[in-house]
Amino acid sequence: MTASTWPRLERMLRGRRFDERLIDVRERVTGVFHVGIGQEATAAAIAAVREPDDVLMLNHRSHQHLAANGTDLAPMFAEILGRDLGPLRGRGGTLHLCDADRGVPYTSSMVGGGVPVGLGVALAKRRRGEPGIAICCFGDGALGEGVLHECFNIARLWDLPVLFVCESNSAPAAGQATASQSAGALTDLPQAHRVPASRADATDPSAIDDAVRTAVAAIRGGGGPRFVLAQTAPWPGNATFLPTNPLGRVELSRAERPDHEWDAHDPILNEVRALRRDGADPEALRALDARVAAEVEDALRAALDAPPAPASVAFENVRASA
Amino acid sequence: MSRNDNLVQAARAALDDAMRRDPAVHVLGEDVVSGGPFALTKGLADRHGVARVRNTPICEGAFIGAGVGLALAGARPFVDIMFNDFMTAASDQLFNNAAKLHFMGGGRYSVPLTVWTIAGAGTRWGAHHSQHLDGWFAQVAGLKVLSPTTPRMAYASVTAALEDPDPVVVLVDRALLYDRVALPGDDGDPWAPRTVRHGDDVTVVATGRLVHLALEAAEQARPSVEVIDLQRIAPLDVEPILASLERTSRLVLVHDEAACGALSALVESAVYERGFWLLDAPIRRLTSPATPVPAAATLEDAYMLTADDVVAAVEAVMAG
Amino acid sequence: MTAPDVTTAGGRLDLDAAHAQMSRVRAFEEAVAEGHRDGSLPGLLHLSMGAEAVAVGLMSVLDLERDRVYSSHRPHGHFLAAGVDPRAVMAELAGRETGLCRGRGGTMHLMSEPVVMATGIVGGTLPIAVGHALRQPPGAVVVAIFGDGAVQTGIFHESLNLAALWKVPVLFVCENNGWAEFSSREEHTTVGGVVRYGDLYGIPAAEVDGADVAAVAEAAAELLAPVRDGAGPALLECHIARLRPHYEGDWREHRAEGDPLVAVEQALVARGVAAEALAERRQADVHEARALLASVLADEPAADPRHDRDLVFARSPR
Repeated sequence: MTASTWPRLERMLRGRRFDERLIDVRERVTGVFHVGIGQEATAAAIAAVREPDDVLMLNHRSHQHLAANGTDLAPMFAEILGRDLGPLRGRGGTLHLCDADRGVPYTSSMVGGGVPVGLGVALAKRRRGEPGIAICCFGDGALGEGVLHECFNIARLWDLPVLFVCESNSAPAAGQATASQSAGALTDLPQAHRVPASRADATDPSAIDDAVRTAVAAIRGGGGPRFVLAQTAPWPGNATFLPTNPLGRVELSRAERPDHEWDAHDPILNEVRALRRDGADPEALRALDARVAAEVEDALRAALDAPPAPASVAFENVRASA
Repeated sequence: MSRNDNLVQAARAALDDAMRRDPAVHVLGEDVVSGGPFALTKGLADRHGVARVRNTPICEGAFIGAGVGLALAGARPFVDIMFNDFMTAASDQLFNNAAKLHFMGGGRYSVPLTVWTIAGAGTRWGAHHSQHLDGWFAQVAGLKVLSPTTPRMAYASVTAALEDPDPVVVLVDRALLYDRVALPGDDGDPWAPRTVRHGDDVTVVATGRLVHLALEAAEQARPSVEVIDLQRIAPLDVEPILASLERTSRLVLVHDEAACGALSALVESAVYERGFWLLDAPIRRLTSPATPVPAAATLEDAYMLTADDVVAAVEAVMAG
Repeated sequence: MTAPDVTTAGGRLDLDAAHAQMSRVRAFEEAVAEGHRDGSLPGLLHLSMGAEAVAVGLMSVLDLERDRVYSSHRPHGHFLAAGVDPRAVMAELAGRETGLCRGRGGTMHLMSEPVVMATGIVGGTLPIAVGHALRQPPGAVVVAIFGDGAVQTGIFHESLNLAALWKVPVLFVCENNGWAEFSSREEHTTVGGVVRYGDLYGIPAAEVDGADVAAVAEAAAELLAPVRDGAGPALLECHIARLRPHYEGDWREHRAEGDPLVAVEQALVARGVAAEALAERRQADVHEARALLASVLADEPAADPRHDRDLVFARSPR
């Protein structure tokens, strides 16, 4: 990523344009994939505070995080499309994307599966007095898994430098946090284990940025674990297996002239609205968008041009030694 | 079920029929009310009510455990584990409780729990959604495991599992979910291995989609091939395999699992133990490599067994 | 099978009857400890000295014709207080064919009709209790007993969430003795109390002095009333002392204060009961428990391994 006048918008656009194009070529994606449309502001907030020694544990909905983090988009497309350019040379696909150079060593696609691993990394850093924190991202569904509770308890008990980020795209239901959680609010769950928790509207990029910054500052200051609930509005294109894009490619002009009800909850449009209020030149915004779109296009082409992953790599890297 | 049903539809029909016959049958699992990703339970909540078809949060340990509790209380629970890979989150409840309760209680209680789950690669979903953990289940004493390969057998397996007093895992190959192919012996016993093709030179024992692949291979291979569909993965019954070896004396095992997996090894060692002197050549065991399942299409294709692999193994075993 | 009635005609706890029950439980456990020491009762035994008031107080307010109990790895007191035949329990511990589980289960896998099962896996019976409760007839409940160590397991939270979502008639009872195996509660969690998890899941919760048998009975009865009415689950935290080490044979030193038998004896003496009578009862119970063990060892047949294969399944496949 180059230096940008509006780094936050750029981070978000990278994820959005990536996911939009991915949906365009979904016939060429083998397997299922999930897009992070609507959740880019959380990713941008995390990317803005991530330091080189931090580790980021993601889940099956990772594209927006990797894009915001600066991951090269060609290898990312390639991994999802089963090409030899990907970081795992096609072994992982979308569900196991990674970028070890940018703090994403491994991704589990088991719900909640990466969280204990993040804890372990945080524990090692703390014991060795090394810098860096673990940032563990998961959805609201993951809070049903008992292992999340085990992690909240241990993180507090051992004062681990962990940021738990719950990207919720579910609505409350009948006096409960969600249809799957009897607690009154999702933040009650970490708080019951004495992990301080905050809630932010993740459709508002500066609100989620504040929340993440505050939490991370506390963790880096030795305050132990924190939890941030990043609440978004569910995006209508999400589906069990293959997402569609019913709202079409988002044009930045929709910030002023929305086409759909969901445009009011689109964090990218909200960011454009905020920048416009601050006097940003619409031409310059469009130029940034065009630059990102061009980068995405080049990356997609490079990925599609890359050879398919060769069969021989399927059996590599099972063990570190024979 | 109707004659044109695919495997999932047949299984759904069996579950629906059982729920109509027996008010004790309950369904639990993620998204079962809307039908789930494979539409297995579609319509059941409308017909039988949400007290009997319950959505659960993502908490496999708790809802397999709840299934055990329902079973102890006299219900006949049908629990849907979306992918057999997720059974790892429920292993305590399934392996330590469901499988062992009857024995540990000296026969006082039985656990008529049915667990439906999907296994197998081919969708490019990667290592956490593509495993065949048959052998993992097979090596726990106290679990029964059925693996139906046709719609009629899926109907029979679900029916038999729900009627059985013990915990039964019905493990279905993902590749067969929307298949309509029938096989000889479809009206037979889902608990018994079945011969789906008669031959004189080589016996091929297979499970899941590989049964169909083995039949394809049998058409292409020069030797005369007998194909046995194992059907009951646990507890293992090798009698029909031994009976076949009396005539053929050569055995090829074909199973979707990693090479370090237990199922093929269990079958192989059982045959060596009981039928060594029936063999004219070492047993050939075909599995996938001992690696996690890779995601990319080219990699996964290299990982998965094909009909050509079976043909090659059949010809090789003839050579001794 | 009915539990020995420790209530008066008015339904209140009969303290003297409760003491008699508690004394029998204690004596049984002491005999078991002796049996372990002299090698006649092998196995990983977790004894319930210090938890008698919870077992007796809780069972006194249950209708064990219909209510069901799920226990932990420290189950003997629960089974005895529920009226399960002590001879059958002892025979199970001694690996006899006439034991509760024909010798196949042992101490951590006791099973009976009113107390369905114990467990060797911490928290292992919690979700089973939830599932069982789905099928209880109206007015009947399931009680799930667990230790404070189980509260840090994921399955505890999954089970409470499920119970609250499904509004099942479960009373979760935590025997909080401040110890989880060989570490104190503080080494396992920063959360002091267990009762607060009731707030988290929106279910009624209370805590009680678990060494006071009358208080346990009263607290349990109060929480159970709405549970029986279909209001959903509840949580009772009972503070007790674990008077023995985690398991019999543990070399670690362990000290704890708070003997529920001493507490109930003091209460009875304050009401005019002769201390000597109580002491004599205790002695007699110890004598009887020793005799029970000796008799079981001498007379009950050892579990026959030839039956093992037939016990794996209720219906053995071909």
